[in-house]
Amino acid sequence: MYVIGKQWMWHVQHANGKRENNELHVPIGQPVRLIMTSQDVIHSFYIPAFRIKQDVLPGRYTSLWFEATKPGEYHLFCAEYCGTEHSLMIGTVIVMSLNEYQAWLTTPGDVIMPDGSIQAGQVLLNPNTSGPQLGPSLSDPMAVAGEQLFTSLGCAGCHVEAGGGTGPSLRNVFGYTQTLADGSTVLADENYIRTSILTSMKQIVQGYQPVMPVYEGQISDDQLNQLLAYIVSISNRGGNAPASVPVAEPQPSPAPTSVPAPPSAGGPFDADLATKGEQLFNNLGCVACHQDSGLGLGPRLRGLYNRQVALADGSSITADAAYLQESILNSAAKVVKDYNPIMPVYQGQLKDDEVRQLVEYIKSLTE
Amino acid sequence: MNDHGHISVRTYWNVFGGLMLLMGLTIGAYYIEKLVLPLPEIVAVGIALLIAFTKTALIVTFFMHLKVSSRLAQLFAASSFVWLLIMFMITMGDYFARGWPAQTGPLS
Amino acid sequence: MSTSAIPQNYTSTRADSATEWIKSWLLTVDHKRIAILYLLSINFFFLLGGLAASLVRVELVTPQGDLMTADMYNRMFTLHGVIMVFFFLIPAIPAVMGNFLVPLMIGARDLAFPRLNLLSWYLYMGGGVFALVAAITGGVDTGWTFYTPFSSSYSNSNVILTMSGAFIMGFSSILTGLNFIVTIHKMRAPGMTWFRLPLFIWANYATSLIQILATPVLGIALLLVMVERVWRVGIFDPALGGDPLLFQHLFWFYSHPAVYIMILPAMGVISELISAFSRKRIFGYEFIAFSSIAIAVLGFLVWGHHMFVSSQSVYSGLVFSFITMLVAIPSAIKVFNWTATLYKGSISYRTPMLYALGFIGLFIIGGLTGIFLGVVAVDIHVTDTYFVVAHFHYVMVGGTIMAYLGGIHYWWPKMTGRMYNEAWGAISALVVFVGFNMTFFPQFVMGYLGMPRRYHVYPEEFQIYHVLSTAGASILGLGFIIPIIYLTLSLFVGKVAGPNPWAATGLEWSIASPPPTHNFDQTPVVTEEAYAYPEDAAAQDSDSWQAGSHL
Repeated sequence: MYVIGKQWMWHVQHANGKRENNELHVPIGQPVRLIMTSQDVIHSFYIPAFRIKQDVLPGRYTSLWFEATKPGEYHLFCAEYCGTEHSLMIGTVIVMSLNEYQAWLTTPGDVIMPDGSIQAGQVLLNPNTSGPQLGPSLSDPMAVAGEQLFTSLGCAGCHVEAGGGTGPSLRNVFGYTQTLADGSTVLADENYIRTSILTSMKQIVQGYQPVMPVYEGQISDDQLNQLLAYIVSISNRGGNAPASVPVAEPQPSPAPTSVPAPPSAGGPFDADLATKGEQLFNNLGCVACHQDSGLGLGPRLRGLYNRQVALADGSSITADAAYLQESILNSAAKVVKDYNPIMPVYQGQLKDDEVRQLVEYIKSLTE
Repeated sequence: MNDHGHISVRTYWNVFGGLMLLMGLTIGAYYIEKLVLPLPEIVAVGIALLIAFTKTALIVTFFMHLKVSSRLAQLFAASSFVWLLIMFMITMGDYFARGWPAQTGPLS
Repeated sequence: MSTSAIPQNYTSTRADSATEWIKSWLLTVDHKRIAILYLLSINFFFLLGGLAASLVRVELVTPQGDLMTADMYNRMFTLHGVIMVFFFLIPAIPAVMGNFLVPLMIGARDLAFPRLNLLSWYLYMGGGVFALVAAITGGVDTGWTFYTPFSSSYSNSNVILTMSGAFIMGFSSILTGLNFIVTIHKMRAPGMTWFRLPLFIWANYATSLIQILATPVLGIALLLVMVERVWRVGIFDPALGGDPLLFQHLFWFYSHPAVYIMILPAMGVISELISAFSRKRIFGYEFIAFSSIAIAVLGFLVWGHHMFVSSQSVYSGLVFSFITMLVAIPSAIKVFNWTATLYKGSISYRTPMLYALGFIGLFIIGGLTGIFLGVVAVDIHVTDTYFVVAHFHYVMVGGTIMAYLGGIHYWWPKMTGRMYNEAWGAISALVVFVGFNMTFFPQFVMGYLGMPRRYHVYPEEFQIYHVLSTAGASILGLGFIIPIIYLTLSLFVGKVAGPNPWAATGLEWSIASPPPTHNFDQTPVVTEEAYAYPEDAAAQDSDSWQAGSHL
């Protein structure tokens, strides 16, 4: 089970998608492993009755395991001083028989919110200051949700499962030893996966370029846990799901729907520069978001040159060379409709001729 | 303190020259590591620490008159480096050993 | 302050005006006057820290947070920790008794660097001013351990002010340690070989070693947190690319040896007291001397036992646990040697001895519970609970503060020329002992039952222990206030004490009480071992005992 500690509450995600706040339901007689992280400061997950405690750190996973033997309700405390309401960061561990646990696991339930109110079937998902997000207390199984994220965030574009993509295939990665670019080896455990997603430049796998975008700050901790659950599920060493909990069948990823391309005017381009631009396009990681399938975080660029583009502010503009250049260097100036303004700013990072090469490459992308 | 011995002005200038040289080495090492020869992080940090240690040793020995001080004073100064080493080694021990698999339980 | 019965001494000044008199004290370089300055300022901070503790304990009587808000409570316990650790326990015995006695015990005229000594006091006061300003303008709520990333990125309180106070105080500690080391090496009287030194000197020497080696690391750790707080450099906050555990390593690398700074001088005092009030040479002198050094050295290798559950590697944890077991051995050696000293000694139950005997018992409990905490499996359950709180209060209060009070009483006649009222002394020692145990023993139990530390509100089942603890705290507080009253009174109406009211050995007892500014009229030549009590001291004492004798 995945635990996220934050000031000043605990959030738990079960593998089948059930979530809870400030409570932990576990079955009797089954070993339970908790993979925990913090969203802000150091907390500590403490169940006195089980004689276990483990600090919960931001930026990494720590883990704990136990096997409950007696049914009942037990205290859950935060045992590392974490600020104003450290004393209120307490919860209950509820140990139930296997049948009761099964029943509980598969029904969306009442959840007691940190402020004491009772929400039916809703859980505070991402309670940070920029708008708390409510989500269902029973959602897709974590591995399935993770797979959906894997596609929607554009990971599938580089991490082609069959291999041969810009990034390594993630099948059978978790639990195996990886060789890094500087020759050292590391076991791909939960922390390795987390670091690779959030700040991949810290550990580049040998034989691959350091072009993976940084996802720190772009996905929440529970989304990260779902991705982790998915990556664990596609590895032979991902551990066994408890036999009694139905293992979600990984659904086939939706076939990329072809985006109907409006008639493009196109135009002449410089083939040499375009080839160099294509290399840059891959090396800099543009390909990860601007996917040809159209399912990436950024818009599809094939057929873009000289086409009419609808912008977020409602206006319409022709995508000429000047527009392409501006979008590369300072994308926030004109964001395309229906897309988020998350493209990195390349002003100052690229030389002028590199920008020209990219523009020529984009020009070369015809339907 | 001056009744112990004497360090000549020429030595002081030589040590200063040595320190400048080492500073140049530090800067040079940075540029070499960035542009020419990428090294594993531990080697790069090790080189930087070695240069820093040499600089400190030069300053302590000559500028702080340790060379012409009593054996006892030299012992105390040396022991501070030993303690620094203790702190570095045991802390680094933790960092190195973090990846070592330790939590074997029924589920890992 | 001098009367006709007390000769000219270090406290008398030929001052023409009030300002002259103030200057003679505030610009003094006499180690004895500096010790008195420390005595007054340290006691002030002790009372302040005690006030914070009282507020904390009163709040904890009820499970709800009814006396103060959570924020206020957090600031209170942090204030208590910061003041007690940095401004009371670390300086107390070395700065007060060490400063006064180290030159006297070795037969020197003053410390090696008298002006540096005065600077130490001003640095202490400077740091204290920062801490006070921080407390008055809103306090700090990070806990005295300042864990990151809370202190470096999330706390909205006066973190930088408080850390600056601790940083400056650190320099005071370093300079005092430096002074002692040089003095003990270089300024011993002729004939005072290393193994003729009183054990208080050995203890202060070991403490000074720790002070100069460990304190700079704390300074850097705090400085780095301040840098991260102000300029958002990623050192400890993972969101900026740092590692939170790095702070813990750096912090505890100082703070564990720091607790040995607190306890070693206390053990030195106890060696003096046990010997004087058993009228007997200390058993195993060399063992106690070397064990002080051993504690100082080994104490640097065990800091990770504060971090067993912090996600440091398990293998590091095992190494630290093993060495923690080792560091208990020298302390145990001391306890056994003190007990052996008591055996067949002529024991006199005066106030200093009551404190010393209390120390031995309470230190055994505190030290053993420390060993319990050193076992990783046990620590996982009880760390960050009241069990740890009880453990360190047993060693810090039951240990260091008992030794501090015992030492104050023992050397009070030497420092002031007056005897305190013995009956009140014995009463307050008893009150402290009872109050202390009542305060902190229930905390062991509730910690084991799972009550976490630093909680403002708590589940109802723990209330009974908290009530007991607060009741004990009020008794303990009384026990600390009473000595202030009768010790102050003794300055005016106490019996004049001669040079050696306890008939003890030691160079400090060979000169007048209070001592003259220049300490010794002639440099003493030492020919005897330390604690050279005659074989039949017990018989001699009982023969020569009269009503009203101090022993």
